[in-house]
Amino acid sequence: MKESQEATGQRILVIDDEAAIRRFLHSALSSDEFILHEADSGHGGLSAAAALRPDLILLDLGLPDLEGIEVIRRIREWSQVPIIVLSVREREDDKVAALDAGADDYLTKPFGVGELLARMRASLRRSAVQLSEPVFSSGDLTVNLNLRRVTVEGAEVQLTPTEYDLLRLLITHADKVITHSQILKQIWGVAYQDQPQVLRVTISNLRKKVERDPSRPRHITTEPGVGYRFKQAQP
Amino acid sequence: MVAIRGYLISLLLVAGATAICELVRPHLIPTNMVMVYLLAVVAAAAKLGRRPAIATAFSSVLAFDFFFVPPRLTFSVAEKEYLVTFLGFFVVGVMISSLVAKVREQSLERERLSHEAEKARILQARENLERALLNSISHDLRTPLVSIKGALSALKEEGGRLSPEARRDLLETANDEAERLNRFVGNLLDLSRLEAGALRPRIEPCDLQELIGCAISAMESRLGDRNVKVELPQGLTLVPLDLVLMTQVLVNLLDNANKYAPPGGSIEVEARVTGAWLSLTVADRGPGAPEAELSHIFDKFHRVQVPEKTGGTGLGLSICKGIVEAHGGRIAARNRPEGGLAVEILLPLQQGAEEP
Repeated sequence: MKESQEATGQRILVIDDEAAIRRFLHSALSSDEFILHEADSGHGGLSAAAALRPDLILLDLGLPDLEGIEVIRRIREWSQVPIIVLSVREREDDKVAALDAGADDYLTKPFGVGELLARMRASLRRSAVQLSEPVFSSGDLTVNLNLRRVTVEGAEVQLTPTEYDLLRLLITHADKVITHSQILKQIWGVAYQDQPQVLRVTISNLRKKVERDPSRPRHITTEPGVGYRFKQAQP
Repeated sequence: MVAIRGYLISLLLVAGATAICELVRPHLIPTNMVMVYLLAVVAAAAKLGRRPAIATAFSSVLAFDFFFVPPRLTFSVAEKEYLVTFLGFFVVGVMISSLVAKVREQSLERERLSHEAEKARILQARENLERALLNSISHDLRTPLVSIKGALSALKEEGGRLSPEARRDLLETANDEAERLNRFVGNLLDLSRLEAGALRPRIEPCDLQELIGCAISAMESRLGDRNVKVELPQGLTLVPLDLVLMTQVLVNLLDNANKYAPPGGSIEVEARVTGAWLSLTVADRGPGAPEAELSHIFDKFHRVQVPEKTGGTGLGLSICKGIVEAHGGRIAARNRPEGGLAVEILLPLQQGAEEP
């Protein structure tokens, strides 16, 4: 563990066994905004998480001593700290398992620092405020959560109740990936958990109503093999 | 063991010949029965080799004498003429044995030699291929590393003397090449998993539009000013496929089209349902490929020779082929009459569908 500086930035715990990656993250992220702490193993990460109470955890899934999924489970027993998982492309199943175990988001290695910062800020923002505004807007899309009213470029669009619930779920987790089974469980109930077709059909219909070009969705993006993400446009 | 087995079979042959002779005994004089025994000797020579054949000839004489030469069921011989028959039979039998056995040995030897030559040829071909693969892989791994190392060392050692534009150029080069390296490593992993049979598609009903959307969004940063025209069937089309793998196929095809399409040109993606098959075509307006190469462009590490340095790793299309075939589908390339290359994928809409 290493203290970066005495500052009021948010505490970030990096759990990764690769020294080169910890070093790169340390150089790239340390600033007034973030104070970085490091752990090089799963057990080390767990005790650091308990001792430091970080504001966010960056967790490598391929740790030598403990499954990354297990690290997430043990942290989730006592803390809701945002966890972003770092994993290589080939392991879609691991990503889904990590997200279903309670991770907030994932990044595929290798990643750019810009993308990492965007994910970190989105996760920190979400944990700070739970969508307090009744009106959500992103680019040409506006959702009034009180009136259940959705407009695209100012024109109202009619959504079915299921489409609306799905859109609401996605925007309340804006910029965060939600797995297929998480969506199915929340919108359709546990019985539908293994029926991804209903989700695909509803997503397709929803995109036709809220996306300008459903073949190139700007709002609701697909994370192949993992789930969906609502991409909030920067104002 | 094999030798004993040969002699046992030769005894069985003699026993068989004896049984046949016994059946036809009322109709044949004993001298003609020699022909039946001769047949047994020829069979032994052809199948068992020389020594068992001679043993067959010898035991044939004994059996013939014992069972059929009067007085029967004794080894004594009433008419001395039969001794000539015995001798003649034995000599002819041994000669036939030698001749037939020789022919047999020669053909076995020839077979062995040609088998060995074939094995050596396959081994050589495999070695050549492996050397070519290794050369190609190390070239494709090292080329981006050269640029990355060069750019970073220039920045580290000479950064102070460089103009801001040069520094930005170097950083962009390093970044682009790192991405290229990452794609290449990903392709190598995909290919090795395909070849190991570890890449099994997880087939689920997927939205065709979503599939194409995923592929285009993954390609977005590389497309530049090239436009992708998408033509889809009306309404929702759910098709059974593995979204992750098939996205990879479309990305590779788009990447390929992107390399050859002229700047500002367009790439066309078209999906159609024809009978029990989904047809997906990715077409560009580039130079196309020489007709002779069309059937090889899906081969591992095959590169169509192009004048400029647009050459890819030669892996993308072979991965496409592997993934499409793992879905029970087909992939083929053709030159478009109006110019450019079109790659078409056919995927079965139902598992176990018939060939188109």
